[in-house]
Amino acid sequence: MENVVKQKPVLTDKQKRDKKDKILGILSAIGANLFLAFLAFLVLFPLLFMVFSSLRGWENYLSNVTMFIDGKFTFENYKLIANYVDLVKGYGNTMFIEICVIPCGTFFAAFAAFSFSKLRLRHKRFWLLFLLSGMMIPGAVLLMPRYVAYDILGWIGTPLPLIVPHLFIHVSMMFFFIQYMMGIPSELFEAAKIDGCSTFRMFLQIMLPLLLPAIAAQCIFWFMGIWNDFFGPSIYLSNENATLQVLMYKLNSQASGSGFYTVTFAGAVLSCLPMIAIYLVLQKFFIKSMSFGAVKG
Amino acid sequence: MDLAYTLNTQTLSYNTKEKKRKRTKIEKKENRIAFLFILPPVISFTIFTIIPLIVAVMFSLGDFNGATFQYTFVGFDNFAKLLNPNSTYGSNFLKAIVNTLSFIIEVPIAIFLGLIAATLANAKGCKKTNHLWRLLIYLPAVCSAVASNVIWRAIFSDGGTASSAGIINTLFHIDIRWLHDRIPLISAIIIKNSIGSMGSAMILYYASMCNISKDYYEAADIDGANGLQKFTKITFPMLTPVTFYLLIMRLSGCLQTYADSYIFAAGDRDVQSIVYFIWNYGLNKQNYSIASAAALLLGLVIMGITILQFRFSNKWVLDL
Repeated sequence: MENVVKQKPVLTDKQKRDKKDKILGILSAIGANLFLAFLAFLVLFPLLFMVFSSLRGWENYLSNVTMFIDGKFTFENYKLIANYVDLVKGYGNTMFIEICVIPCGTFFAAFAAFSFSKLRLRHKRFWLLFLLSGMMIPGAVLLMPRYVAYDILGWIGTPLPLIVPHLFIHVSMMFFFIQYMMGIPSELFEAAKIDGCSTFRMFLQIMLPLLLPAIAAQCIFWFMGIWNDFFGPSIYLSNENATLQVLMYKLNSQASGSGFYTVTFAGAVLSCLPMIAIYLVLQKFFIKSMSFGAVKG
Repeated sequence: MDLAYTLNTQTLSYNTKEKKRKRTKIEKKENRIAFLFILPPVISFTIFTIIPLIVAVMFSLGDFNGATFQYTFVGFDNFAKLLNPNSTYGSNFLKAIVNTLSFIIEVPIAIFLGLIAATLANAKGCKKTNHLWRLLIYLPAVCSAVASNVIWRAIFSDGGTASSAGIINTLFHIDIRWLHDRIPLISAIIIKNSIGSMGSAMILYYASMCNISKDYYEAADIDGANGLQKFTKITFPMLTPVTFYLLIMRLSGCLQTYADSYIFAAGDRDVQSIVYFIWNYGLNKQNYSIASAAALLLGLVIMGITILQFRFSNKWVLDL
């Protein structure tokens, strides 16, 4: 009897503490979520502003900038883009560069990475350091000599300067592949070698299938890099083969310059939409591949 | 000790000799094929990076005329011009350096915001919602620099040449000339970039927070540590590699910014970044020598930063 009486207050004390903890837990959860929602709003605000403003008439927009969700939606701006630039052609030109560069570049990067990680190669360290040293040289240093050389070759105004230098080398991708291949047991290749498998077949039939996740992860970011690139295309391309971002810039200077902000917004929506769609579909993949390189390295 | 050392070297040299003797036909063939595999990148790298690098050094040490292709060697004259703040080149270059350095203020802010966001997303209360927040906060990172700069320009618009005041000036009832005065323009770029690059910092922090072993926290719980102590004594120290990686990456990115000056500031003379300076003198005004000299100075800084990164990260230690 005495024991039970003594235990009771102890239990209620604990219950009290539990209850307090529970309330605190709920409160902190609400607080954390609210703050994250605030950050998300801050980050997404420009995008929301862009999407909703692109659906308003430009007079409507100028009369009241702040009320950008006013229910009077119109697709007029999207039709007006055609008066300034041909965005469809921009998509085509961007995709042309993507398709030329990525498959070839990925293949050669994987090739070289295979050689570095699994084959017997003399002076391996030297060659790797030689190629990696390229990561240290900023593009601005190479800009002038390359431009003069392309000018001599007659490549200015064509997409060649954006394609040829990237066909056979992508150092950071190669480096990523080497790291990935280190995790694949060498015994697989030793066994294949004993069975008389040729090196090229070893690469094609054993390494390439195993490498697919890494290839996909890297290609997404390469695709995004080319899609969003502005500096190179703005320097080298002529009007006929201007990429999406170049046309977007042109649209901005023409439409916004004369006050038609909303048309520019419509263009911006169209230029971002494909990337956002890809991101939303492959979201898990994106986040995983982004953290993979950095966390492991 | 000495004996052991000589023995070791002897066995070593014996081994290599044996290796040399045993280099069979198959091994030689494999070596040849392996070399063939790395040949395309090596050749491409030599043509498109090494040779232009040498040419850039030549440009910077001489006076190169792009129209007539005449080249005269002038030594370090171009560098002297750039580093002399009294000349036109020098004063513009100094301005570009100051601008670029002030853009860097963005880096710690973005990393700090990302760290807070990741910590909150990793907290118990966000177990069900953290995926959504990560998805949303990273989303703007996939949009192009052109589009985001154009939108931010409209948001910061100050009614100067365009007919409308932007949403920030209207909403807060202020009249700051965000797009026309130097200090507001630089602050606008910093604000825009801090918000813009927060997402990737958050994703990386979150991923490495998940990798920290739960044992540390359990041990800390037993010792009666509170949440703040756990964060400062366990979480943050364990995140040092990521913090360092982010710092270096953002830093070298910021030093090479171009779109901020070209699109957001619309080429404003006072808000040129270093790369904008290089582009402007090199390609716009065809003064290849001055531009190359400036680019090489920037290159030295970035090279130093990259070497620092390799030194501190274990990326360098690749067992081949």
